[in-house]
Amino acid sequence: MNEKIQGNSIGDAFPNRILIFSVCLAFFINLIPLQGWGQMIRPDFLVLVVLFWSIHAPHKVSFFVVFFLGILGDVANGSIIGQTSLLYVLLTVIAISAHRRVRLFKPLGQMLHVFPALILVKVGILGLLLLVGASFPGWHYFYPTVSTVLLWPLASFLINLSVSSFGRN
Amino acid sequence: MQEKTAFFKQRSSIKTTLLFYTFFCVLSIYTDAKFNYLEMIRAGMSIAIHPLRTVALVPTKIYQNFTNFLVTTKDLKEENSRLKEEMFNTDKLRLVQDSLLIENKNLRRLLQLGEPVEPTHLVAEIIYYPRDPFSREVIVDKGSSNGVSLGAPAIDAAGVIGQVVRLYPWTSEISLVTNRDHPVPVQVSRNGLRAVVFGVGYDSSLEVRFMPIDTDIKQGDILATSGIGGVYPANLPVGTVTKVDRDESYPFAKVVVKPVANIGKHRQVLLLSKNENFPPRPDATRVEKNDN
Repeated sequence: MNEKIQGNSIGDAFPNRILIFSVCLAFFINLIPLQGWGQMIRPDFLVLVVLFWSIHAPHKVSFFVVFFLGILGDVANGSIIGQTSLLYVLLTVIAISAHRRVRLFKPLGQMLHVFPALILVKVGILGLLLLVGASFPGWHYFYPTVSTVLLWPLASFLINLSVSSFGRN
Repeated sequence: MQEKTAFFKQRSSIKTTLLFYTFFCVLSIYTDAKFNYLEMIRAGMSIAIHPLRTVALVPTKIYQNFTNFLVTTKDLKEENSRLKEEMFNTDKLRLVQDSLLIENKNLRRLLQLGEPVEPTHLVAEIIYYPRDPFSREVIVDKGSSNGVSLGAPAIDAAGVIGQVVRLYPWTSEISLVTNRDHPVPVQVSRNGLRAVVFGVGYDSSLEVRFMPIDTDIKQGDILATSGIGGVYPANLPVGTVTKVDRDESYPFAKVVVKPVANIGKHRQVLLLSKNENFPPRPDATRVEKNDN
């Protein structure tokens, strides 16, 4: 009974190797250089993966790993260290606290949860960066947010598919 | 009872974690934005992800090779004739330049001025544009192992692109002149007026700050590096003045400059060596003593 309430039994269906592989793959895709419009609207695949695991297997998500991935992302982007970590950590916290509710919805309904959370956190980080002396980069700062959210159904479908194909022991 | 404790335990731990990591993130954002303490961490991690980065370049390389493969004969012929024409023009200019260089050398010797420093150069290829929307930077494929030095100026065929701001063993990061608050000491080519051009954080726009409203600066003026400061060699074009706004309610004129270099159009940049023979800055205390 206790285990059911905690909701961890669902998460146990997701084996570690798929989690690790998806995180590595997302990090790798984020490193592929793009130019022009592709660069401006490129989605952050790590956001998708981190959110997916925080919602579907919250007890498997390590805050330190999420934080560290963010630092690596900042180093790779050449941006101010800490902003991507803050994005990932805040999103993980939001996703873990709301995971029981979000799981009730289909991917399209989950999109409507992911979008406001992502926008809220991005606005917060933008405010913080403006405080330490950055200039407003323009509305294209939010384009990746939109593209990331639009990819949510596809990402959750793909991870679910890989779990059902390779995940069963 | 057991359920209750488990419930509260999880909630409080997530709050603590949130506070702990948020504090660290905000601290590192503040430190990195204001000071240089995190550069060592950045360099170390950058080296660590370099192999992965190199592999991540493969898809781009394949795409580029594929698009190169699809170039038509017509395009090649057009490019060839254009290049021939350009070469003809530069050959003409080089003849003039050779004689001018000899003349300049003789004149400098007569006037007993020091030998002008000829910077050595290194061709580097832009490998990618970082995805940080807050800065205007490019990463090139030459680093400290190739002899690039920190602060080295980068130029293209048209003019100044920027300056090396972070140096790694195999790559280096160039801050573009359009990067916010990136200063370049310049001179107006028409009258020799000295000024400093700053990036404003947007592509295709720079500004000259702190020029009095009655300054002799006009639309169409060409700004070239002055060589003052020792970073950029003299007489490299930086930008053209596109707008001068002399609003008398402000102490300074608003001068908008369009950069001449266009890094979006090609993949190669030229990294120049820094002027190592630049005399040291005068000692501040000694100046004070002289005043008294």
